Amino acid sequence: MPLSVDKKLAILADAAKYDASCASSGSNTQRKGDGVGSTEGMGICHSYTPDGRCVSLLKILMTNYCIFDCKFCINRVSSNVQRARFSVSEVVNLTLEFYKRNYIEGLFLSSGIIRNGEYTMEQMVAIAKELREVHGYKGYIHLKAIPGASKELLEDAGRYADRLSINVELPTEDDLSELAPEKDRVSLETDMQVIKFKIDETKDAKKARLKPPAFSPAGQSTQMIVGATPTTDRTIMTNASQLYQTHSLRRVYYSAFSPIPDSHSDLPLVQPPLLREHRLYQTDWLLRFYGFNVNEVLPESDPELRLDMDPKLSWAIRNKDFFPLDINKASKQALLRVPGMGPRTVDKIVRERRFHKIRLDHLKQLRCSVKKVKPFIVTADYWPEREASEQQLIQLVEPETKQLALAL
Amino acid sequence: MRVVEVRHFDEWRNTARELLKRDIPPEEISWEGVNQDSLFNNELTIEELALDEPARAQALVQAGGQRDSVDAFGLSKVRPLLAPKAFLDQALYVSCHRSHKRWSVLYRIIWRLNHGEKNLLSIASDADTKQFHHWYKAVKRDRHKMKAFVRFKCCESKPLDANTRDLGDKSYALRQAQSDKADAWYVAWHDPSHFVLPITIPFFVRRFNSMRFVILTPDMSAMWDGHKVSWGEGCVRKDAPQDDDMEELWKTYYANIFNPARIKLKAMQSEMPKKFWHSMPETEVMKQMLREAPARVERMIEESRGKRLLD
Repeated sequence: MPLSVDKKLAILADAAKYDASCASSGSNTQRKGDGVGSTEGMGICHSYTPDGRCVSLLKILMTNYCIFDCKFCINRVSSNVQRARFSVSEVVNLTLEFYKRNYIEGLFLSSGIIRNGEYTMEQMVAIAKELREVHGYKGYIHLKAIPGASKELLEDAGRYADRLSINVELPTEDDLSELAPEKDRVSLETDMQVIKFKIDETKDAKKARLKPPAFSPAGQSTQMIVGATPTTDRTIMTNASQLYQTHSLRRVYYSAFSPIPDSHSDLPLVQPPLLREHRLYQTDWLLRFYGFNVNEVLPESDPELRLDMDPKLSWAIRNKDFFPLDINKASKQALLRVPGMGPRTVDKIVRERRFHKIRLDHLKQLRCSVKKVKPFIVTADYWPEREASEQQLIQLVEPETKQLALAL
Repeated sequence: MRVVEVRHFDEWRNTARELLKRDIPPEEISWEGVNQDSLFNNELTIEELALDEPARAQALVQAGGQRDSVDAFGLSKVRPLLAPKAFLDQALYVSCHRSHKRWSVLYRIIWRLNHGEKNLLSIASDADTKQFHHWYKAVKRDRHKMKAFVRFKCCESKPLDANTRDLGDKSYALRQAQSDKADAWYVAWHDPSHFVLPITIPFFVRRFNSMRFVILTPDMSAMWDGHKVSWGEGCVRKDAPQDDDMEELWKTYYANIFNPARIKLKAMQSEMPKKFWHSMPETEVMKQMLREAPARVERMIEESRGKRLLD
C-alpha cells in the first residue's frame, strides 16, 4: 500500500533531523518570479522545538532509501528503519503550502542515495527547478550536494539554490574510512572546490557588472559529527579551520553524535555530548570573530576543550600576563580577548571612550557583566589590587560547572 | 505646563518640530499618550478607513495636522527634523513601544540633541539613551517575532461563510476577506507586545505579494488585497478563523524534526515565549512530544543494546 503524505513526512523529517544546519541567512537575491517568497539577508526562525533548535526550513529527505552503509547514519542500507520516498510534486506542494502560511523560510532538501549520486541529484534539482520556474517561488532553498553527482548537475543545483552544502561527515579522513567506507574526503573536497569556483566566478562577473544568474548566493557549508570517534578537539578545530580557508565555507556545523534507532555496534551508546558541541561552537566563534587561532585556543599540550569553562576564559587563565588590560587604552583586538566581552560590547566601548573615560559604572550600563570582566581589566576608577592566582580567577568568575541537564 | 496629545509617530514628529522651533523645553510639556487604536475611532466610518487609502490619509491629516505625502503603506513622509537620520529611524521603532512615557522621552532626547549634546546617542551609559535603546531593542525583537510567529490560515470561500455568521461587526477587514469568494485569503491573528504591525507590514507585503492576506492584532488590523494596504480596527482571537487543513501536516513535521535525545526547554522558551503559543498550531503537540521523549530515547538505546547482544 502506498504511504500517505503525512506518513512520508513523518519518516522523512525524522530522517533529516541529524543534519544540524537550519540557517536561512546570507541570501539577498532579487529572484524573478510571480510566486511567493523573499530572502532579505537575515534568516528567520519560525519556531523552536523542545530540543532548543530552531525551525526555519522544511528540512526533509527526498528519500531515506540509501545504497551506502555509513555506520553513524540512521539511513544506511543495513539499518532496518521504515523507508519512504517523496515525489517531486509532493515536496513542491508541501514547501509552497507551508511557506504561504508563514511556517517556514524555505526548503532544505537532502537525500539518501538511490541508484547513484547522479540520479539522486537529478531528482533533487528537478524539485528546485519546479519551485523556481513553474511556481515563481522566491523563498530560500538549501540543497545538499550528493557525492558522485556530475559537475554540470552541481552547477544546475547552484542556480536554483541559495545555499549548497556537502557534508564531510566526520572530522578526519581516517574517521571517514572507518565509519563511512563509501565516501572519501578527497572527492568530497573536490566537489566543494567546484562549488567554490562557480561562486567566485559569479562574484567576479557581478563585479564586472555582467549581471550573472545567481549561484548559491548564501555560499556553502558543511557538517561533521563529533563524539562518534575518539578524535580530539584540537584535530577537529584544525580541520574545520582548514575547511574554512580552503573552500571559503560560510559555516561548519558540529553535531554531537546522538544515539539513533538501530545504531551500528561500533558506535558509543551514550547521551550526546551536548556541552562539548557547545564548546566547539564557542571555539568556532573565537576563530571567526575574535581573532584567535587554533594553536592559541587548543595548544598541543592541551588538545581537549575544558567542559567546565568556556574556551576564552580558559585561554585567559593560561595567558595571565596578557592582563589586566586598560579599557580606555587597549586596542579593539585586545579587548575582544577579555572573557565576558563580546564584539558588541567592545564596539560600544570603543565608540563611547572617545567622549569620556570609561568607569566601572559605565560598563554596567553597557550590560557587560562587571563581575566577569573585573579580574582582567583596568578602568578610570578601578584596577585589580594584586595579581590573582589561577584558582582565584576561576572562583571570581564562577563558570558554570554543570553538564546541561535533561530537564523533563 | 502644556498638554499635547499624540497618536502616532508622524504626529509626534510634527508636534516636536513645532515645539523645538518655539524653543519649548521638555519640562514644560506633558505628552498624553493616546492609544493607537483611537486612530480608527473618529467620525469616518470603519468602512471608509479600512478600504480607502485617500480617506485614511485624509483622516490622518485631520487627526495630525500637516502631511506632505503618503507612501504605499499608508505611512506619510514629512520633512526631516533637526535630528540625525539614525535617531529618526530608531525613534520610529521606539514610538511603537507600549509605554505611555515614550513620547516624552523621545522629545527630551531630541531636545538634548539640539541643545549641545549632539553625541547623546553614543553615550550608552546615559539614562535617556539607555531607555531609548532598551525600548528600541524591545520593539525590534517584537517586530522580529511577528515576522516569525504569524501563522496564516487559508480561507477558501466555503468555510468562510460559516465563520462570517459568528463575526458580528468586529472587524471590517476580516469580513471583507471572508465575503470574497473568488480566491483564497490568508488570515492571521497575532498578539504582539507593542504596536509593531505598521512597521512590519512592509515585510509581509514583500514576501507574500502575490497573496491576499489579513493580519489581525488586538490593537489594529491590516489587509493586503494584492495592490494596497488598508487599515482597520483590532479584534480578539476568537473572532479570527480557527482551522486550516495544512496544520495537521505542519504538526507532523514539527513532532518529527524534534530530537528526543536532546531536551533544552529553557533555550526554546526564551526564543519562543509562551504568550505566542496559542496562535501557533505546532505548540499543541509539544506536551505529547515531551511526555514521550524519555521513553523514545530509552527505547532507541535498549533496542540497539538488545540487537548487539543478539549479534
